[in-house]
Amino acid sequence: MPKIISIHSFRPGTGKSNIAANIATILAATGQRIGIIDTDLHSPAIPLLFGIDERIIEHSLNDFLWGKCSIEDTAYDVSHGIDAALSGRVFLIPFVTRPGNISYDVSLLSDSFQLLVSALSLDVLLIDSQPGLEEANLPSLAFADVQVLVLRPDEQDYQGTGVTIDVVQQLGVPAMMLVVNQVPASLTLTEVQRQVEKVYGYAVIAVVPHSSELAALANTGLFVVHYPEHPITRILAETAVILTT
Amino acid sequence: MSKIISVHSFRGGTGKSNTTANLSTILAATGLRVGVIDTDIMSPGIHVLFGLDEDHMTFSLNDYLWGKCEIKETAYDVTKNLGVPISGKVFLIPSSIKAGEIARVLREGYDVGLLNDGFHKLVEELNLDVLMIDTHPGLNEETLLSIAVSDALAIILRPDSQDYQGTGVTVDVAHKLDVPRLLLLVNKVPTSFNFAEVKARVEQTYNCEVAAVMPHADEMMILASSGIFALKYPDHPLTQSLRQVAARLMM
Repeated sequence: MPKIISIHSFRPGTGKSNIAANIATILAATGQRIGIIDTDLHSPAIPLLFGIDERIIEHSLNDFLWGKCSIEDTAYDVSHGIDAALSGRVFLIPFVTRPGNISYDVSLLSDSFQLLVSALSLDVLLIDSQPGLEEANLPSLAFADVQVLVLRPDEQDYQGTGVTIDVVQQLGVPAMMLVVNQVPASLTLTEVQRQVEKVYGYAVIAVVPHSSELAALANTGLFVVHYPEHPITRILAETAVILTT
Repeated sequence: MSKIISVHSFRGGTGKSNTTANLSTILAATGLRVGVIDTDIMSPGIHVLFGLDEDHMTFSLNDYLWGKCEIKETAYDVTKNLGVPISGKVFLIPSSIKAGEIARVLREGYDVGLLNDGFHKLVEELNLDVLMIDTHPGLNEETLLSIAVSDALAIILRPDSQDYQGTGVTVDVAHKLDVPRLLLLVNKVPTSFNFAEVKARVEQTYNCEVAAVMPHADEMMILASSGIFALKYPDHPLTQSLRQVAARLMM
């Protein structure tokens, strides 16, 4: 059953794009066809992680919405950047969203998500949203089957996540799940899970410890490819399963 | 002579709010009257570091920008919240954390000229020695304004390929806007990295002074924005680094 999963966070810097890219990679390695809509334009995270030179990107989803190109033109197959022998596929779909700039037909956006799924035979469509509460984010939040909120165990993130959940609840998103990222070694992962679930009332599907290897990789590549046996890779693999069942 | 200092980064998650809060506190501890204004209306957060919660915020920056109040009414003396007696003062001008108010500003926009007036009125009416501006990441109208009116600009980046890319753009803009003093701060550097190499590389890449290469510190991460690091860990190397930066910014 093709799924549309939105990955979001209130504050920037939670590691949202990194998680999205790594989960996409894990799913593709199991043979699935994954699309990632990259809306986070200020952060060229997704292209960098997949080793894509942004200069090859000519079309975005916006061009399709304006009738300037076909839906297939907006998708860039980045699978080779991961592994030449990848059994599945990862497609990157750029989408320019700017604060206060929804000049396209919003219902067309929902259709375009479905069109992407059928044109590319996608098993999963991930939306890497721009952080924060912006009106431009709302369509992605509203049209997703699943909403994943990423936060760090940090007071600023805690407060902002509460605010975000209030807003998202009003949009009536079917399922909301939390990922707590960059957890200091001094905290017990299961305890963090328990506390965060208690505070927000939503399932925490992953608690990812802070990792100096991940930090040192500095977003130059995909963690799960560089460290296939790492505990974090195992956690992300379990998360990928939870998200897609 | 009062100073306006902006703390900026191209991307989020560089540690801008924490750095701004710590630099402000360090300066206040030397006896200065320091204002801190959170212009990150889209994702406000610095108020958390100063222990100011929603219930105690009668007016926020948002209210001033909508013409509901004077800028002075949005300033809160948070010196007591620091929990440690210091000789100066910290005044915080927070942005609203209420979803509806954040969304409203984004939808309706605001007069950036009003923000500019606000900066200058704050310095005058609160008799500030320093006004520190915590900005939203990235280059937009508000951040360009902050950069343009600043006497000193600190750009924070992590040693990360995305940050490197974006910082170049920001440095160019800062040069074009003739900022009198421009400093780079490389933050959250993994302890496995060669710090001297990072400093040299960044200085060379941007042709700009690196005031500090700040290590990732577990204590900072664990503190989790619940308070001011420099006050909790006065002898930590990171705090010493921040003191040096504060001094450089004020020169």
